[in-house]
Amino acid sequence: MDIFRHTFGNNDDSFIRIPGAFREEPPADLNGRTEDQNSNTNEPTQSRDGRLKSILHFLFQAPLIVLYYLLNFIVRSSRLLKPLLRLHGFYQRKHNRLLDHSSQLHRLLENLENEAQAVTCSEGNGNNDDGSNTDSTSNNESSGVQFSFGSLYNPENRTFSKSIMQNSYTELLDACSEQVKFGVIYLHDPLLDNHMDYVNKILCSEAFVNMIRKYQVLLWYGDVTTSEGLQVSNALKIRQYPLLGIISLKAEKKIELIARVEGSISNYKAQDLEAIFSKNYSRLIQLRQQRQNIEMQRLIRQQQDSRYQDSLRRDQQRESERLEQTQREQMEREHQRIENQWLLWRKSQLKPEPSSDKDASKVAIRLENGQRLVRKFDTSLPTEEIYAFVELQLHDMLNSENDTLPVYQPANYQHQYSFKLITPVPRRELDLSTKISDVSGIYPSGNIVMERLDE
Amino acid sequence: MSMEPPVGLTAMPVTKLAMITTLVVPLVASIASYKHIFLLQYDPFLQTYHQYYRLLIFQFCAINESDTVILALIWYLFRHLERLLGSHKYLTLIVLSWAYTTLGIWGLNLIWNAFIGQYKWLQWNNFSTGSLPIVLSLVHFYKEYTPQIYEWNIRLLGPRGGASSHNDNKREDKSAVEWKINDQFLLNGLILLLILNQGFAGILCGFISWMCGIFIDKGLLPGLDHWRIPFVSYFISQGPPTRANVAIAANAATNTAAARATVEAATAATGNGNTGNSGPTSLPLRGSSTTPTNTSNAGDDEPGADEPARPLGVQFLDTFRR
Repeated sequence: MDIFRHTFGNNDDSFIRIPGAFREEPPADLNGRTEDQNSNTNEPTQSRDGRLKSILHFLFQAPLIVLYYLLNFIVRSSRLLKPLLRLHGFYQRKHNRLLDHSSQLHRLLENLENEAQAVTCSEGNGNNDDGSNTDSTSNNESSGVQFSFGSLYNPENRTFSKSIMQNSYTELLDACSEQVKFGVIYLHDPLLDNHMDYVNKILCSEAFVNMIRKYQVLLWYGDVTTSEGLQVSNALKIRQYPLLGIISLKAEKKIELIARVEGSISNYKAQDLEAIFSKNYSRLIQLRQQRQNIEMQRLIRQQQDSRYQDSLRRDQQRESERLEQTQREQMEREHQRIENQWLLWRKSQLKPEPSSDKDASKVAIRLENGQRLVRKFDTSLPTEEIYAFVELQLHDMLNSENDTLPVYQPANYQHQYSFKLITPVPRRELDLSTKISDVSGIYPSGNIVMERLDE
Repeated sequence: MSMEPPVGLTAMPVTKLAMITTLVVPLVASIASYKHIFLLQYDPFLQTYHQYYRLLIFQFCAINESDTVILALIWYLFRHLERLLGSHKYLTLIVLSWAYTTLGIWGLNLIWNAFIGQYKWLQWNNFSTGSLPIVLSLVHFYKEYTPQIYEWNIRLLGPRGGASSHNDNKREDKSAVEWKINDQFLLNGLILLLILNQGFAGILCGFISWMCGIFIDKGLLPGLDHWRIPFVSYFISQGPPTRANVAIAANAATNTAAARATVEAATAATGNGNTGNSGPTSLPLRGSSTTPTNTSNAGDDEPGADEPARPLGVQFLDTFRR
């Protein structure tokens, strides 16, 4: 750009507009003004500059335009590669057919089952035909009892339960780290010459099955022609198929491939796997115990916490009860005090017994405890007077002499009598507000029975 | 989790052989100035001089240096194919496809030139150089048995539609070019380059060879199912021994499992079981990012070692710091 600047002078507007560049607003008036300035100062050089500029414009513009259209053409013509995409789809269709992990696994197991059956059948035929197939027979003898693949791994009626067979590699990793168990990975390669070797000689052998049962191993089988299997094999850096790998938790957080059998089966011995399992089992148990300890500590702490919370709650409850109790007592005391005050006041208000029989009714009151009181009352008073008298009698305040100091009626206090007075014949309760003279049962004289109200 | 096959050619003798042949033969030929014997053309060599040995050797050496490099790279990418098929079968496949592609290309060339190529300007004269036919027939096998692991999109917006056309989608769609690229784009690009680099002959021979690959796979061209190259199994199985005996090869730890394990440990330690219940969800493997960590020095093997092993440098530094 500096070269351009120098050749075109120091004007800012001197750049060549590249077709397709970002649109800017080059101020046209600036262009004109600078030219005007230049033309004002020295005209002949300006005309020469202008010619040079146009020539350079022409020289540089053409290749850039060509370059632009060339690039554009290349990008556009990439659309012509659409048929190649279809070619790509030709291969992709097969791989996209099964994306679900579990269905992939089922398909693999089915295929293996069928092929294993075919292989064993042909082997059996070979043995029947000539009987000289010593290699396979010796193999069978050396590996002990052979299971058929279907009986072990068939999804419907297999020996291994569902929990042992994992659906995907990540599931296997999760389960291994969670349950602290060994995991066995088998990567099947259907394209190899002797691809059923591992299946027939390792996976179906009694030693292998016993090992799986003994060490509670989790299994995952994958196919390297599926995406998942390929990823796993790349991640584990497998150089030869098929692979039989054992993964195990190492330390607290890491899962590692602790052993692998890959490639040709000729070097495999059943004792190797057994040795690896037994060697690493102690560490696995240790890890398991660590985890149990942590879990135990967590439980203990939880229990302690809950116990502490319990006792705390109990204490709070007790505290609140105590508070309530004292409050209630205080209120009772207050009530008592006010009642007492009221009684004293009432006593001071109690009218004296009329001396004459005129305008007086003579009432005999039988208290609850059998005591019998006889007193005259002024007939013009309400029956409340009788109530008050009885109340005072009940509180034993009639004969006490402590009424020397003046007592005021307590404010905001409405006394409730805890009993009622009844005329026996006819049985009628005495109303508080009626006058004594209006009650026929006790005027001029009568009997009254006191009955306590049950609260 | 690495998405590539393991680096290097350990345990891959056939790939090694192919790469060495691809690189060394052109070098030696150009040093010895004998490159011309690998050039195959119909007109003078086959028709006039009857030099049929050129048919046998033209696939061993690419005339162009760029072809040589591209072929070497493709052979290196095909190491996955060797891993998948096994070395013996892979070698057999290479030999078979060499024979079939040579025969096929030559035969079609003869037929074409006998019937249509009477006129000079319609004659099919040039052939591809280098192992392009073999590679193209192997491409079918690679594509057929290698699933795609991931893909991404590239979007090219035309420069004219810069800021202004973000508003109306139609113009943007018209000017935008979207490429979907998957994890095999390197191989695809190399194959495309290889074919285009040799012009029309490359396209033609490549297509014929690809068809040969398909026919070999489907069994139409016999040999792959029952025949193996004899007497070479000793050399091929010289690779690394099966590692059953060298079994303590601790290699891979996965980050996800590790992370989950730490989360579990943390929750177990704090006694807060609420966050831990998202454990056994089966993530699709495609999205998970697990990376292998190479591990296992001797100190790591001690059972119950709580402290991670410190490298020597750190130990020195710690010593001097205290």
